[in-house]
Amino acid sequence: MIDDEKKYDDLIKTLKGLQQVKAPPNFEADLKRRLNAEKYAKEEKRTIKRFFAPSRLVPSFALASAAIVIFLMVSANSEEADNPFLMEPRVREDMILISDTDDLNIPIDNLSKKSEVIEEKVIADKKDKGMRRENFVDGGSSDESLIAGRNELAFTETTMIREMESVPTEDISAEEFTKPVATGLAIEKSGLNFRQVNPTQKEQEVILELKKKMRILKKNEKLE
Amino acid sequence: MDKNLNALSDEELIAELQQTGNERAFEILVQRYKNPLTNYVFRFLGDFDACMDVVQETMIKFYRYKDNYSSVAKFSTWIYTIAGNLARTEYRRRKRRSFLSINDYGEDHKVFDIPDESYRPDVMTDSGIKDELIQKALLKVKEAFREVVILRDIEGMSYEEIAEITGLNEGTVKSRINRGRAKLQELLKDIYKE
Repeated sequence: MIDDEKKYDDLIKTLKGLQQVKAPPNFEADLKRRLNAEKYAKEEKRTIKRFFAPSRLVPSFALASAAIVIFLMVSANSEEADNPFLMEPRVREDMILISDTDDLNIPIDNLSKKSEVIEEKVIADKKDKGMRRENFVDGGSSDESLIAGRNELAFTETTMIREMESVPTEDISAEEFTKPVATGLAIEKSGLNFRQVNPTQKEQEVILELKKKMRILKKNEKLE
Repeated sequence: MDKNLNALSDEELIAELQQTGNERAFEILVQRYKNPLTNYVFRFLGDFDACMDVVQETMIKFYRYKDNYSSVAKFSTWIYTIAGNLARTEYRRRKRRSFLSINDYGEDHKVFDIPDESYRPDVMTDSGIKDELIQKALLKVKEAFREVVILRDIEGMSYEEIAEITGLNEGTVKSRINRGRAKLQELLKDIYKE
């Protein structure tokens, strides 16, 4: 081996005498920049990995699926509301809704009479409708007559309501109040608004007297 | 603190870096090895820009895999192994690309170096034609022989160290060195005649 070294002695000396190549002065700065860039890239990768980790995706996926289910349920309900067959009819403007019976001030006698009249008219209208249906089924009526029939129906309804509005208003006396309520108009409790009244002493005395009279009347009725 | 670190050996410095993460230890090791590695890689590749990329990459790998170093081997051996592997990869990559490039690398091809800046060593060698001729001759020697010749005759390493760096037997290293030298002498016979 030593012989080999001697053999190439000149060559070895030449190679050892080669100028030493040095790194540029900005070597360290470049290295730091590259290291920092790598660190930043690593951190970015880590954050991306963390964000898309299965442990993080499961709750978000569950939340998203829940949101979709809720949305579908709500949208399905909204479709039902839009369904014309399931919609409640609109409130007609030509009809008056009465929320408080006190506003009416109708004498019960008149009311019962009127209601009887209205009932009669309704029955007559129903009969009339039935007749028209029969005619329609038989083929005896044209489209024009049907349209005319509808107009007549609308007319009768509006006249009925006007008649109800034109009922004379009088103060109801205590006796009238105790009379049996007309059965023509079906009044349900659920449709009424009860007003809370705080009576004075005199009023309370009057009420007590009325109650006594009511009891006496009830007893008499039972005896009869 | 700096003075103490500067007095430490390479192995002690990397141990410091591993244990405490002291960046100063890394900086000192970079300062110690940047020039020897640049010289080694440049003589192997013959291109300064490519050489700088390889040396920088070596330092980055050293920093990234600092915990993989075990005190069984010398630090110089470890870092030269990294640099050698990267230099070989770069050389082969450039060789493949040379089909389309103006620069031609390889044992039997001419090398066309385009001079760039005055401080660059490949330009500086222009001042000494001898240096340029030797560099060109080195690039004509086969890759496997060139590497061991550079490590032995330019970097001044022992056969044992070269064997560790290249992963070869000492016998193979000696044989390759001799074959490399023979080829180089043949290429440089005109210089010796002068």
